[in-house]
Amino acid sequence: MIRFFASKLLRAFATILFVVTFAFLVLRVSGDPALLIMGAEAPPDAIAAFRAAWGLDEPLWRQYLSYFAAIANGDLGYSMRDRRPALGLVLDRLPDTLRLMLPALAVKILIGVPAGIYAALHRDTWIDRTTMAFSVLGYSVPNFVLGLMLVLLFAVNLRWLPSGGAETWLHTILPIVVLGTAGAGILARFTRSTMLEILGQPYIRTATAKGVPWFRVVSWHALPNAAIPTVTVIGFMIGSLIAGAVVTESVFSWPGIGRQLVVAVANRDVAVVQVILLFVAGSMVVSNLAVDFLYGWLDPRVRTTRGKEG
Amino acid sequence: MTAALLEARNIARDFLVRRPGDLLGRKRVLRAVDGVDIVVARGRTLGIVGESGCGKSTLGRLLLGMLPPTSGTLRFEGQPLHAREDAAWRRQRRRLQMIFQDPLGALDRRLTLGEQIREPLDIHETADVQARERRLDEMLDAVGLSRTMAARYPHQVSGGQRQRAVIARALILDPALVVCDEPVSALDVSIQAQVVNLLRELQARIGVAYVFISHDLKVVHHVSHEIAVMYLGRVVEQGARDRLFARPEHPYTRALMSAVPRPDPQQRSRRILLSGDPPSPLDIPPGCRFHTRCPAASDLCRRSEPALAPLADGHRVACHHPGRDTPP
Amino acid sequence: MGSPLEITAAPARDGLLLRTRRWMAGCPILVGAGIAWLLAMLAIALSVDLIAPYPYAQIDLRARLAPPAFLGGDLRHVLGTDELGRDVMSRLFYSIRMSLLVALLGTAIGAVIGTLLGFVAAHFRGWVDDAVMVMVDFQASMPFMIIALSVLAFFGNSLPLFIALMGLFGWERYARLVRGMTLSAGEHGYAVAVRQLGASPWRVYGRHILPNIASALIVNVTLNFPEHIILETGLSFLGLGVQPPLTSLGNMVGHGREYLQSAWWIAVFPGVAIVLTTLSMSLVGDWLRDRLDPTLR
Repeated sequence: MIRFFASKLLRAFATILFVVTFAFLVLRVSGDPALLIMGAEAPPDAIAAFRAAWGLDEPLWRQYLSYFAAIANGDLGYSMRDRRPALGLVLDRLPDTLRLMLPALAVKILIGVPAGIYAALHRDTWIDRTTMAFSVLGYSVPNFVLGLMLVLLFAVNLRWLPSGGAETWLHTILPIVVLGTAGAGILARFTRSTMLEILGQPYIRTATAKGVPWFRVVSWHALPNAAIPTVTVIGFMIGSLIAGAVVTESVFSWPGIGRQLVVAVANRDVAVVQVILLFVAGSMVVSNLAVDFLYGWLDPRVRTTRGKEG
Repeated sequence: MTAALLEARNIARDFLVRRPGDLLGRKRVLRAVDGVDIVVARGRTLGIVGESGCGKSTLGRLLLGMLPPTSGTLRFEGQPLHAREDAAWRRQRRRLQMIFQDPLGALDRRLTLGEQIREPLDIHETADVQARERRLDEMLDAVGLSRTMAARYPHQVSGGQRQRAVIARALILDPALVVCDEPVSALDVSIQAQVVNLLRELQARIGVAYVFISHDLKVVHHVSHEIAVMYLGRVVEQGARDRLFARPEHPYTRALMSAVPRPDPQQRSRRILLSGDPPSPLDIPPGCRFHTRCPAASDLCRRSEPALAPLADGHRVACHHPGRDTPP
Repeated sequence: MGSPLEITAAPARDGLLLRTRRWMAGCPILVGAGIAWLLAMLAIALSVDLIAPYPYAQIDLRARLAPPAFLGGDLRHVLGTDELGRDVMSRLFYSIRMSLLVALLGTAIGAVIGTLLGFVAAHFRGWVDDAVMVMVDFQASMPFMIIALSVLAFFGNSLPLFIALMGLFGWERYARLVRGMTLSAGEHGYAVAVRQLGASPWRVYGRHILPNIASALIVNVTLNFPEHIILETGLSFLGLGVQPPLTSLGNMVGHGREYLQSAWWIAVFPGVAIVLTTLSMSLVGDWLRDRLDPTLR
């Protein structure tokens, strides 16, 4: 049990290590980090001080270690645009991103999961087909196209809603709809196929044959088993919230981390990009870890039987 | 007696196993084959019998050079047997072949039987294409498959026909030794006899030697000249077929034999029942490894492991109390 | 193919056309429409130099923001013009070619890299396998959009780099699939049988395992391709993908978004082209998956 969690923790740690190493190597290969992080027009003495502080004249492995030390101390470099610490800049934007992403996540779960369950229980009815059609649309319509179509309809033509910005709650409606529909479609499809698989299992057929009421079969036997894989997908969605924000925030000029990332990439503001990269990696790792722990807690078999293939 | 074709001296094979899902867990050593001596003579058949999990399939792969032994030596036709995939290993494949338990699994479902039977010739580029075609036709005749069968895909023919194709593929290079791992146990009983007879007939014709691995004593009796009985990775009894069947010495062999139905009710012997399942190869009992299930076990058996030693007539058995069914 | 034995196998081999028709029988209308749309896109991409009315960068300042012909615009610009008077239909055709090219190349590179690494992992096992799987896990656990943006930020952008980057998207799924299927083929079965005949690894993988797992790989390709389109158009929409003066569907949408109020056609036509293409490919892919490989879902 402890060993299961320990090996998961080790794995999470390895992923973070991987990302940090990736960032370090890429920074080193892509040019002089002093110039990149401080900006080309930074004063020469500042660059010299930076070099000394980060030990850029030392051997690579020493630099690697001090890079780690710096990250551990929360020292993530300065934005080359306004010279402020990159970490602070990103943290400033976090609440705005969450204000969008958390309601969107709620929409995905509250629509996607029930729709998937309903479609599975009423297989091949028109409701099932409609749900599946929506989920195929959710897969294949890119967020930015859907967003612009909604802006064209509700903001440009009908003038009901603002087209961009973040002043009032009205501004949140369109972005949440865009993020929510795509995610709900994906989640509905996944929940449906998981449910169908479980409903085909022998223990469900046994319970039905024994005369257990159908409602009880579903709520007592099927749902708890379908919950486990569904939780994994939701965990992945939580982990990729920031990544999902990139396109949608840009469509609606929303002042969150996603938009900040796009601007930073366009300006090659590597310090900010690096902070966001670590942020995303961190949120992925933490949510994966949470899912793994939840698994271990929900399903005792996992602790002993899940092999390397799992 | 002809000269030895394949000689295994004291070979052993360990596997490292780890409990699944446990990345930090300690690996444990599983000794699947533990110190086996085997000699296969040219043109003869050595039968290997034992329950599932006794290491007989691992032994088969060791004898074939598909798996390197952890310790011990193997010699084939006077040369060391190669077990690493290199050019020498590939050359040795021409002389050493294998027949598998599941003919459907052993065949590629996307190629016709003919293409697959011919494939060894293509791999080793034995002759020009016309000669290969002629050889294929000979082989089809030898195993009793028609030309139209050769154009079919594996799923379009019966299990017996598939196994004939596997046999043809194994023999087309004219090998000196073929290891047959449970070659008939996946087939219907009515087909089993046909396939076994085909193997014997081909041996008489081309002088190939077989190592015939099976859990089925009847089949082994039918094809073998010599038989080795395996238990938990070791050979516990070995000798000529008729001697072994007439007077089995090891209590384990005696138990296996008593389970075989005999056609003649007069001959029916008392049924010896073994208690329990074989122990896990991860926890081999101390002393004689069979004592936990042996009806004749004594204190000596619990303390010391008997070596495989010849009796007066050369029949070899690893038992402190050979020939007994009750404690001394 | 072409060995003498194949000829004797004739009963299973009718004309290609007939077999295709039989195989397509029972294909739903939507899937048929999807295939037709994809073929049309392919035809446009291949013949764009012949059928585009104007060069994609030709500016005509006198005809700026002209509406499409069916909205009372000029027949010289059937789908209207943009703010520099460039013909939207011509730009659309060239963009279709660029987007298909990037997505096809990206999908192909990803498939080849992933398949090779899957074989390598399954063949060598041990630490090689572990190393490949660590990379697979890493790639699968990081949203690719973020990886792509970081690389673009660090290295800047150029078309070859962009295509190479697109090639890294999705390789891990092929690697995982190929590794798993190769391992299971190698455990017991035809792969072991052929290997012990003395076949070289090239023969085992190329002639035996690859044809056997091809249908699963094709299904994966059809599911991967629309994701490539979405990623490419998304990055280009953000201005971080294909760079002007080259144009892709995403560029057009991103650029037309400024004129949504006055000239919606600049953004809407390429947007519709993206949606119909990804939708068609998803429908065809789902249908193929049910046809070829019912075990995957």
